[in-house]
Amino acid sequence: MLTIKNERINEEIYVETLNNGLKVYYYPKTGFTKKYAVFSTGNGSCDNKFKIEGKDESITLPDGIAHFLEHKLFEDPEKDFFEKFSGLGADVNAFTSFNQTSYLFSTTENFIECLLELVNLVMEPFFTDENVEKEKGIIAQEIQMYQDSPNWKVFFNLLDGLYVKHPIKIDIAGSIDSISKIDKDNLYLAYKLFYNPESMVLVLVGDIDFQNVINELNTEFAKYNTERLKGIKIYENEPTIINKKRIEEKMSTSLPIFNIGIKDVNVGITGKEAVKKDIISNLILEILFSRSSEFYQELYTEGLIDDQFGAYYTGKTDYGHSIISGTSENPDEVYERIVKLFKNPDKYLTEDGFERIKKKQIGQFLIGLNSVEYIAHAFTDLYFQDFLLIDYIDLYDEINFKMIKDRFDEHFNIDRLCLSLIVPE
Amino acid sequence: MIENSIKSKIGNGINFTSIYTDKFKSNYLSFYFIRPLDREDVTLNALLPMVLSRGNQVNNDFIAIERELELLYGASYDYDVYKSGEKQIIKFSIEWADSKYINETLVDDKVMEIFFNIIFNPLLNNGCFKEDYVEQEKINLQRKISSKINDKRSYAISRCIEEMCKTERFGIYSLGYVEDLGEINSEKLTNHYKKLISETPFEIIYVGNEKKLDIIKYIPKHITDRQFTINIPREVIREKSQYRNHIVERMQVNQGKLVLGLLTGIPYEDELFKALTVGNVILGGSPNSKLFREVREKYSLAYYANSILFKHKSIIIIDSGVDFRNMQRALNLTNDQIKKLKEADFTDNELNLAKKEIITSLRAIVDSNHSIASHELDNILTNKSESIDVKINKINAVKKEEVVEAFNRVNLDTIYVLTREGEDDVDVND
Repeated sequence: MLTIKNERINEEIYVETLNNGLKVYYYPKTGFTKKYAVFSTGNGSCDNKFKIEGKDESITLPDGIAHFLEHKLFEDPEKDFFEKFSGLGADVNAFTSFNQTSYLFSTTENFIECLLELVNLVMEPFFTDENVEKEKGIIAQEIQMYQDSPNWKVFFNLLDGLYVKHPIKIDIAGSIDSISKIDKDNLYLAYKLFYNPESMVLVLVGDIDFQNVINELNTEFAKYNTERLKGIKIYENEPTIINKKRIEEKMSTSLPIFNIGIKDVNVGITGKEAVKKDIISNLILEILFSRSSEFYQELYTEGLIDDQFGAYYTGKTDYGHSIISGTSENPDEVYERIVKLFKNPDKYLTEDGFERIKKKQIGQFLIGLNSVEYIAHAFTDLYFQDFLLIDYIDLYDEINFKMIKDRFDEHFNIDRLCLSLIVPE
Repeated sequence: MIENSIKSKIGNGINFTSIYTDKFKSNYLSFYFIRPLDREDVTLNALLPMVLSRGNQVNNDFIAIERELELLYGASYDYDVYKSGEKQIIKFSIEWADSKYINETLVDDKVMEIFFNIIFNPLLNNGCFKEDYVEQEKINLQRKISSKINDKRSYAISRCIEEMCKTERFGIYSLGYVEDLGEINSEKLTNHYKKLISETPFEIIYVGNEKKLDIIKYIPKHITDRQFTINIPREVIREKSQYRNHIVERMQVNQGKLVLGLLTGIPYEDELFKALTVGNVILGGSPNSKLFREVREKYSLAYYANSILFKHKSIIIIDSGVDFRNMQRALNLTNDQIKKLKEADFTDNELNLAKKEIITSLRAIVDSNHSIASHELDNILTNKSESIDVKINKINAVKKEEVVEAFNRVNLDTIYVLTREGEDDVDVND
């Protein structure tokens, strides 16, 4: 067992690799009654094209299959997992994102029993023609629900504008048409590609007897067939240009809703450098667009934006973008002002602002450590980027204002700016 | 570890509750104005924190407030206006990192000053709030109110409640009304503010590890010395309706929403209320519930089908998002599940799972400073000082007969349907 400490924040983590190659991380939170476990694979909705090792042809899976799999892993011939977990005093759930699928539970008792159930849930798929068909109705309603959400639509329309080929532009749940192509055979195939313990991670947070957990997990995993397909993901070559400059759609909303996106072309990096790039980009966006910025104050006072206005950067190895979002009666004017700001940032992008926002983010990171959920999710997210959460806060010491300016020049380029709009009918 | 809450009265109608714990890396302080939910005042109350947050005598605009807070390692200030039963709560809160982790002294004092200046030291021009702040926030509030239509699920729920409680306070929308904004001006709002701070009961709740917070010194003396505070009436609980409401609304949507409003007639003071809580979870409060299993899992009609019990008003709202052509089936199925509760058609296992569900969430309260504060406030608003353990014991003691008895008092009152043009309506007769 390996221990990694960070004295500054008075936290430590433990790591162990199980017999089947699965890495298990334990982040202790003593005194907390809640215990939390997240079991994840680094495959999500963007993982749809593979070449299978030992075979010549490549395969393309139907859009939405990772999310469909997530729903279907809850199926078992003998038991109802929701009932099982509730009986143990736990809440179980799962979610699928672009790059990851996670299964999780939180409990105040019976932690080991719950954990073994979670392993069973993920490691033993049970798909039949009937149970796959039944799920299509439920997922179709999930898709329709999102179709009525202006915030969801404005976001996916933006991704469609920013990316030419990248699968991030495809809705996580797929479409009613694409899920009709899902059957038990392609589900088993996707399962064998996505759920390889060696490339998954299990994160535990709370007050837990870790050594005991490890022993139990090794015994439990020995029960399952872990024969998998080795797939090599096929990446489409995404151009640096954007797909569309502007996208507008009508919906029943009260005011226009906008997402302004900037495509990142500095991609292909991973680990510490990638996480640092992420922090720097978010620092810039906060300096420029948070409530303490001159820009925010100006637009707010003019009535162009309200307190819904905000911005963030997100990225993984093969993509990245910044999004500035809000509601406005005059979104085109907001867009123009942002373009102007990008052309002439000196008034807004100040060293003083940098020092303030840095302090703010450090404080808010510390506050985040109050929550077992936040820790588990942030940990998993960073793990798939090859970085440990416990080292996160120290990265701030390595960032200086020159890096902020350099990154600004590199990323905030108006040629890669897209405006997505939802306007009232 | 969590210690018991320590309560002190620091003025007439001003109570301070401290809950000391070293579990968190931050301090959390929340300040609540408790008002009766009232059609006349609701819009003024919603507007007030928006204007106060714009600036005060020390920090004239929000950019100054925000920058001060950032320098204090991202202390985060927030406000909220919501209804809790038939009370309107104006909440101000601030959370800041424990000074132990940020090598800075006097942080606590500085945070307190900024926070209380927002509430008690507003920026005034000739004795009134700054006019352009008021006018701008009126527009922002108007947008906020109109934007409730954007989220169809919560819109449908709030419309159902509005129709169901048309003649009651609970039907009032917590952010107020666009049509009332016109006549509000800086003078009116300032007078309203003065009235509020002179007569409104305040609750202040602190969760954290700092035992030396001297709250009282930040509250003006004329307020701690005030003589009179208003009485906040308890919610009116209706038992049965004269006739059933059926509302159909049409909009350009992809998915229909079906919302049912039920009267229970059981106030939270009643011994039977705990059984009602358990029954509500059996009906639609978890993935083990009847609604989830039947409407979603068995018939694939919906992605969600939930039931929520509004404790302070003793009503149940059931909501689901359904394809238009399945609306009738979903309604019939939902009615069938309610009937099952009334007819004792549920197993001991379902009963136990529902209890576990509730107990798990009760136990988890102590792991979040925000939940600790809201739990404490709820005890205050309901005049109870029940600990979490006592609540757990009461849930555990609920018997099947009690759930059945409770549900036999439940009556369907309102059916609200959100659909699109050209779709059939549902038949609401039993």
